[in-house]
Amino acid sequence: MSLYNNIASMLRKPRKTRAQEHNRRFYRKPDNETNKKSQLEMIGLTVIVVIVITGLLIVTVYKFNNPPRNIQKRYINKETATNLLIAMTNTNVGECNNLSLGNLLSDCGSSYPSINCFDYTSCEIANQTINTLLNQTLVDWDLSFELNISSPFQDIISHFANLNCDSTSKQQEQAFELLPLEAQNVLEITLILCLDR
Amino acid sequence: MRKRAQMQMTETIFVVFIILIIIMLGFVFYSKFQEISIKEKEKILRNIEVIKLAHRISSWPELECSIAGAERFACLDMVKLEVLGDFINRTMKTNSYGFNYYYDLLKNSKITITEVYPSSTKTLGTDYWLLYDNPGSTPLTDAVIIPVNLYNPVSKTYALGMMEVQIFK
Repeated sequence: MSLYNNIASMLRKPRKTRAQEHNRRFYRKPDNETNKKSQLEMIGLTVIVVIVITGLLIVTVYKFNNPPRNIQKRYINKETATNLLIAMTNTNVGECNNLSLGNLLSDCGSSYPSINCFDYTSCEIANQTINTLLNQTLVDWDLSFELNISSPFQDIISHFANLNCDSTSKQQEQAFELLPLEAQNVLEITLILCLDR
Repeated sequence: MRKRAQMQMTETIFVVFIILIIIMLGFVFYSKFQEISIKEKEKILRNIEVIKLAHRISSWPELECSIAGAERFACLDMVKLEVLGDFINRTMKTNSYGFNYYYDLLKNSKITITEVYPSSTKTLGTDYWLLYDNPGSTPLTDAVIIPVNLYNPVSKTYALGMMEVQIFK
């Protein structure tokens, strides 16, 4: 009989504790389900935080890599470059019978340069003058620039550059001036200001 | 059941409160960035006004250099510069009509012209001219430098110069 009682007590369902009984009566969901829900909420919250941080990072990286191209700033730099080229070519060179720099460059870029001043060719005088002018303006203002003068007869006549300005620069403003040469050819002067250097 | 509802209400209020704080912080940062950007844009717009002013000045009949009636781009006559600078400064001291006329056009600003080639000694009246000097308390713009040609009608030559314009409050 006692053996029968022992086996019966082993097979009987275990009695619930008071706390378990309380939970069952007052809270509908059992403990396992509540844990699962809170885990899901935590995952959801983490996903939202990760998305927000990723969004912020993307916006910040985009902002820093692509600074807005400011039209007004471009206008100011373009005006400076254009005015400087026009003013430079009109300037008279005292070392060469007060000929204008434009005249010297036109002679230098022609097929047969003919102007000589005190044993210097028009190209030498023009380059020397341009160097002086640039040193007193763009170099003095710490601006990064590249100046190229090319002619169809002599290819590149002059090349001046400051602070590593080249074609790889992302933000640059360009101004150019054309001077007439013989046989409907033109001498091209290009000034590039690199604004990101 | 009532206790659980209270807990959930508290949780909701807490979450809404935190979200509000985050939104407010975001708004504060955004408005700060916007303020800086607007100030920068304002400064650049004023600098453009300065460039326009400089272009207007170079086409004034009192200053332009014209040969046989043809006006040259961005060019100032050295003799006219000297005469106009003297006139403005003289009338400024007496606060007479001449100064009032130019004050309407130039307001509170400072305009100087410096020759950089061939001469660059910065001697007043020779290769440096103070055209208008009526600065206010605070500079509103950067000193904008515009390259110009300076025409000497005596030797009939052109020099390279820089016109420096700055507007004040």
